[in-house]
Amino acid sequence: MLKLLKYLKGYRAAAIAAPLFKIIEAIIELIIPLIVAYMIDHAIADENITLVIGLGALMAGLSCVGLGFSLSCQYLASKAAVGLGCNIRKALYSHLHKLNLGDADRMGTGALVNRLSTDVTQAQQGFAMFLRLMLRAPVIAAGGAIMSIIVAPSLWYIGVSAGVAAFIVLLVVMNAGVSRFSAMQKRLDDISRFTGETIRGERVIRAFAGEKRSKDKFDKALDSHCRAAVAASALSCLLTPAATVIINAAVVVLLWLGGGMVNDGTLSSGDLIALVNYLNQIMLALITTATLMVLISKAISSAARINAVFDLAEDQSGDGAIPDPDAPLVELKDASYSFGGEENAVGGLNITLRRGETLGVIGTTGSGKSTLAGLLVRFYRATEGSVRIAGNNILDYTDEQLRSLVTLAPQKPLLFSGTVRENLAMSGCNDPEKMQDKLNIARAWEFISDKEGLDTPVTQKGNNFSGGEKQRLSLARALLRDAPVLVLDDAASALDYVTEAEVMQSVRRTCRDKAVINISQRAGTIRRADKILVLDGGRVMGYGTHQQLLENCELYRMLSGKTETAGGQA
Amino acid sequence: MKKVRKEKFSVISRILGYALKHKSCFIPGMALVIIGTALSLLAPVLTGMAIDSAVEGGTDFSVIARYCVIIAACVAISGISVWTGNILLSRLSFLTVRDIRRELFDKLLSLPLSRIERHSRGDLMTRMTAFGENLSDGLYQGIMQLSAGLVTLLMTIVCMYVMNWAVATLVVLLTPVSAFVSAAIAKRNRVTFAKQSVNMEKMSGLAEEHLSGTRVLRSYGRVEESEEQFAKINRELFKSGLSSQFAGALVNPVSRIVNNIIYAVVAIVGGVFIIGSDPGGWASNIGAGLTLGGLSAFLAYANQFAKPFNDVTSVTAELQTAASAARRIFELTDQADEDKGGTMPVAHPVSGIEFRDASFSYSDKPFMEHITFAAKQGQKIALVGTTGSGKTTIINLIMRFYDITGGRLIFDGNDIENYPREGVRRAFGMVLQDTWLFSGTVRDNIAYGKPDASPEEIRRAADAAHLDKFISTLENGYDTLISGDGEELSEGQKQLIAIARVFLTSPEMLILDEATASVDAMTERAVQAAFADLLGGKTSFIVAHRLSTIRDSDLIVVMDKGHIIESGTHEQLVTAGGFYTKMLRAAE
Repeated sequence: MLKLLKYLKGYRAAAIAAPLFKIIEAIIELIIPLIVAYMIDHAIADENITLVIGLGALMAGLSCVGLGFSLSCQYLASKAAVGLGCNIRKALYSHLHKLNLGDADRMGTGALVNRLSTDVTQAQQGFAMFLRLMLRAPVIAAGGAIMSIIVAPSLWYIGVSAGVAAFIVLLVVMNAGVSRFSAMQKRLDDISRFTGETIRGERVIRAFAGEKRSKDKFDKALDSHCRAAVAASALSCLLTPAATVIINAAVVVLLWLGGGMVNDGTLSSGDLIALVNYLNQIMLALITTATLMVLISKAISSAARINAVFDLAEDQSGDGAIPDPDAPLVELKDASYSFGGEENAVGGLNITLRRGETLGVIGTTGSGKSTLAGLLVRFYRATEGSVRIAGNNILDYTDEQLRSLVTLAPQKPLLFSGTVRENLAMSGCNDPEKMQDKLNIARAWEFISDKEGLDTPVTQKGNNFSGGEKQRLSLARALLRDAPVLVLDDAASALDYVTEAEVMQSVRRTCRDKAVINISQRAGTIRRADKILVLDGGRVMGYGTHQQLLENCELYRMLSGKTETAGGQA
Repeated sequence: MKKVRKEKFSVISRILGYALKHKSCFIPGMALVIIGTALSLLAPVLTGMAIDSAVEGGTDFSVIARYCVIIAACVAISGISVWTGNILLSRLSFLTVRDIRRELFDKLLSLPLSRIERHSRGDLMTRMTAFGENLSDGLYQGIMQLSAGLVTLLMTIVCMYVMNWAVATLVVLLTPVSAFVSAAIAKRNRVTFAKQSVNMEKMSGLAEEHLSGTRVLRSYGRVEESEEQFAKINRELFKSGLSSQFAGALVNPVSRIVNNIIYAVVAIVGGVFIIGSDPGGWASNIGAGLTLGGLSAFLAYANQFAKPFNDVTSVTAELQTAASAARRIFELTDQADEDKGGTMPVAHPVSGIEFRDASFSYSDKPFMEHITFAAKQGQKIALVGTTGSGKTTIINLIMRFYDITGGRLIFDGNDIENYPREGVRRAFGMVLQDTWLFSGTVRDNIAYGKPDASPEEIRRAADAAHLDKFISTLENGYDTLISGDGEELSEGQKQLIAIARVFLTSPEMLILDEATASVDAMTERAVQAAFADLLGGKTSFIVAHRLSTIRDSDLIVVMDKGHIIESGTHEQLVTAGGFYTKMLRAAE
């Protein structure tokens, strides 16, 4: 939690002033019992009704002053906490867009969104409570103890020991509570994960008659959550009764000893009542803290989760380089990438591609095709060898430069809510004619023209379109970029063969002056490429033209279905 | 308005019905909390009495000692019983929510798929987790605060009236002011909170979309723009967050100031009453004499008296949240289960499956019409066609995930409704394009359809699915844990695991819906060979994009927009030169 306080920028003054105001209010609160004592010992004892009323009015007046301070505190604390939350959210959001993509994929979007929403809110809430209430409790408790020493110096040990004992209990319980609450939270996460898993698997579970097994497993998760929850709340329920018992034990001691002092005349009745009041105030302060335990422990674990994300490394942009028009557009020299495991995800890539050339990439499942695409747009950085674009190492370009050189159409098309026009305009091109042209090339115009054309609405993530439609829109967007290097990462995989062939043909026609890298599972899609790269398990198995590969690459022959059915022309 | 209230009441009484199943927690829990709270409220009176016995020069120490012992006993007993009572009640609320969650989960597996698929996954998960939490919080707070609050209220009033009816009346009249104030604030809060949660949803929506699209944003240089969009919502969040945070923070100080003023009034009035309590004084004459100790007790009560009122108002808000959460859960659990189907036993082997002019619609709009084709025992049936042409729907109908809305679907010579759904499903082995793995070991995942399979059987199935090489690269081999969504595996590897699962069960009939779509052609070929061994004489339905894999089918059904446009063997279709031929050419 402390680590996140650097995001308090702009709200530091509020964060410091808030508890100060609260402390002033607490001190005013501590004066009240003294007035009551004075009222009892002087006004009431002397039967002076005017003085009684005057003192009562003073108490009410002081409370109003206290209210002023506490309202200021509440406002400042709210401002500081909400400001902190917004600052964290903003910093986290921009961090997430710079995050190393391997890490981002591992975390999953759902978890990242949770960090931004639930976790930030909980940290913010905990911080507000900390400013507003947590700091007040020790002040009241310590102040109460000090005041009781002032009232009756000889009885100092009662207030002090009660305060200390209560605080020790508080700390111990809080400490244990935080870990029990996070244990409970983990069990709840299990429930949530298992529910999600089950909903995804509805068909398979029913097909294999696995209902009973799922239920049994879920029952276990529920039971262990229930146990963890009861264990956690047993602790949080303990605080209030414990505080009550400790304080009342002190009251009993006070009554016994104080009674004796009243008898001797060394303590007035008013003072005795004031002492009891102070003890009660200490108790109330502790009880308030008890109710905060859950909130604070949630805030602490949320803060830890947020920090874990902040600790993940960001991708760095290059310093800038000037593209060399004569150099090959794409040049990979012994490039490899590893996700950190022993084996390279893809390795030993040697490719040279000039303007007007097409490279087809085909390979077995998990062969590293998408990793290769990621290398070309710097989503991944080669762990060995180098990737050069237009004569410079890819790492030297600024983000902007690189974007004007390379465009990727991904396998998973990503659309954003808005309209088709807005999605296409992301490419930086706003010309409706060009848009319609590229939509035609990608065979996307046909399914939006009978809707509202370019103004056809797109819902969140483009869910109002089918997978194939989304791919075609995303392809049109990539074409609009008009960058010299175009990477198609299985960009038409959701289309049926008929449509795909049509799309690819028109793409080939429009991209004659570009270097196109076409990655596909389908042999038919890439057979017309100038060069074909065959990948298997991250290794290059063949590199050459369709004819060459048919002759000397066993794997390519198999992938194109030319082994068993050589005569049949499948 | 009245109806809404009635409905709310029925939801709450329903929750109580669930809670009452755990009587062993409920009754002793309530009793302990009530006794404990009542006992703790005696402390101020007893303390006051003790203070009164301490008089300069005339203190009766035996009386003080007696009070001290009684106070200590009361507080100790109260502490223990409040604690155990609280534990029991929290256990009660967790057990109740566990029961409701269990029921909800059971429903997830027993409702018709069409019902479930009306809700998004996020929606269902929220009902299970967040709403469940709301419910347990509300239930616990509700029972706790209501019982403790009411006891405090009653007990305080009784104690005060026993001590001094006049001052007691004053306190009783004044205190509700505090309750009104906090209720008014709470009402305003609900408005600001609602605004805050709308903004929160906006923020999450944007983040979800833009973070999953970060690759596109980065490669199109749109990150800054997205950050600006985010910052705009963030500013809104600051505004609404500040007002809702501050509104929430108002409750405490405002109710405290009301309390403090009441405290001052009690001090003044109490003081005046003490002065008038001399023998023969006016207060004594109206039977309202007050001692110093009495004042001390009154002050303590005045401090505590507002709390139950505040608690009760905050409880109504909690209960409302809990009730609406419960309503969303009950909405699902109240729906009728999928019927079990008929009772006719499924014979082995199944002689065939036949669609006779069957139709089906997901909504009012007809989707599939005039579907007629027959699969005889042992035949291989291929379903081909463009995306969204209805191939998968056919599978859903055969597996009885959905029911035909017209025509007939004949299973083994009878209408399929005559057979139990589970029996029909068990007759098939099914592999879908969208594979499902669950968190567990690779072994568990393969053995899902046959949990008692021997390691040797599992290994054979994995070999047949060409998983052996992949599994041997895993650190713990078959015992490697995979996460629920199998993020660490490629789509193809996931499909191979799902295929091994089916190999292991060696079902009577087979359904492959794009089962090898993400598997490369080479592996696919090998797996196909294994399927061919498995299929020997078994009926199978195959949906495939790669036409080369289905050309030897006994029947190829070509679909488009919910209709069968042509069907026949490969040779017949090629001769006919229709849509199938066009698809063949495209695949080349």
